[in-house]
Amino acid sequence: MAKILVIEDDTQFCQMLAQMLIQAGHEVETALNGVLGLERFRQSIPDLVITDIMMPEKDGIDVIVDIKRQNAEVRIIAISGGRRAITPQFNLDSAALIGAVQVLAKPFNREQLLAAIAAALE
Amino acid sequence: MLSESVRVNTFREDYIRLIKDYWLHGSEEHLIQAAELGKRLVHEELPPEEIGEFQQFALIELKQIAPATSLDEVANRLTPPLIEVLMAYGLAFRQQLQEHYELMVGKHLEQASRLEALGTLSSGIAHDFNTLLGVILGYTEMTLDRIPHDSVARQNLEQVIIAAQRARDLVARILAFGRRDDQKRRTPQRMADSLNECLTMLRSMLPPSVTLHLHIDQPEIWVLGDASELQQLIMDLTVNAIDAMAERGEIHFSLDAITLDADTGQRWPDLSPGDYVRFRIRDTGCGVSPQIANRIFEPFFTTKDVGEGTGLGLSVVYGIVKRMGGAIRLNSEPGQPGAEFEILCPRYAGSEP
Repeated sequence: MAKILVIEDDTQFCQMLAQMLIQAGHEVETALNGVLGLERFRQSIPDLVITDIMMPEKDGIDVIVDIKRQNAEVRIIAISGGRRAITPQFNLDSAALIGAVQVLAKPFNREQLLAAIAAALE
Repeated sequence: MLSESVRVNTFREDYIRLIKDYWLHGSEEHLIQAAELGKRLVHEELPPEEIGEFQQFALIELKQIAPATSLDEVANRLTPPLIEVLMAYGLAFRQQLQEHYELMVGKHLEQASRLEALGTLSSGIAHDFNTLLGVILGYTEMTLDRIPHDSVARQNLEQVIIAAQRARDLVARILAFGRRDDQKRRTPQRMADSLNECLTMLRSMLPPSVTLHLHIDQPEIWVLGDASELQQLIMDLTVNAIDAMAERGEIHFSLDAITLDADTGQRWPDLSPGDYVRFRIRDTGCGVSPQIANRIFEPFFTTKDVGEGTGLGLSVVYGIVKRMGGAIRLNSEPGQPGAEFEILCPRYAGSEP
């Protein structure tokens, strides 16, 4: 199974994702913001990164760009619920444009998440 | 409130007294009083024709006081106070009109900015809701794994999932209200096509007690918009009309093209002069009371009972029209049945997509 880094600023959502992924047999690390997420990424080089887009300090778009600079091979899944005038779709389109291989609009169910992971790791 | 004829008589007596005093003393003071009278006529909402009547009566009275003077001569000498009354009347009338118009525009702008603030607010919290719903869905699904298949607990948790999915759809609609221009999705749409498609669908869904009438003045008019949003706009307005009529009555849809200039544009303070597509939908329902007329486009505002409506329909319509660069107004006379929504959207000049 894969080594997955989850970057998500909502603690509860982050824990839920981690638990779901562990149950599905993956090895999981978490970070509660983009800056911490990049630090974790350098230390552990995961197979897959799942990142939220709308986050304080460093948003998911910046995170994806930085990760791709360090390692162009790594697979990334972007997740977003949208904010203010921005729809989840707009965020996810932008993420896909800069290299996220899969995108998921929040809220998604387990089936959708596991399917996206399988497709991303193919 | 005095009846109009009593008020007219009081003014006529005041005017004749004034004219007599002017005839006898001819002072500047009487001309000032004449101007005051003219202003009062406007505030009492008496029509200008009455002034002519007053003058006729005054002439007859004065001819009796001064029988030796010819009628022409009397009329000549009474011209200055008449001019004062007419000028004051005209100025006061114009001022009243302007105040009325400014008040109308002010109310409209206030409503527009309030709606914008609410839109921003509601879509701001939508993101957090999506995340929270994700947590609810995720943990519920994981818990389901550990529960026997045909247990009550399982059925209950499945209802939690269904409710969370419904909440997700609701959030998507809130986001649709707050969304700004999304240029890439806007393509030329022939309004007549959107209307025909929706009406075909609606006719198959509605009870026979609701009849739909379509009046298309010009089929070849186009707007820039999103096909599904246009469809939602028509459907939401229709559902609103059906609710207002308690599912019994007539709905009239009409489509034409109009041009706004400085004059006709006064009804549409948010729009600049130019060519517009006008879409109107009129029902034979209960109408809209003035108390709620300026709140109906607010998200979550509803006159339906709790649980019957989300109160998002008309706010979504408002958002769609705004994004198309258009404006919407409600035409509903207090005390009159039925309401009409009138929508203007910029006319797309090209005829082909």
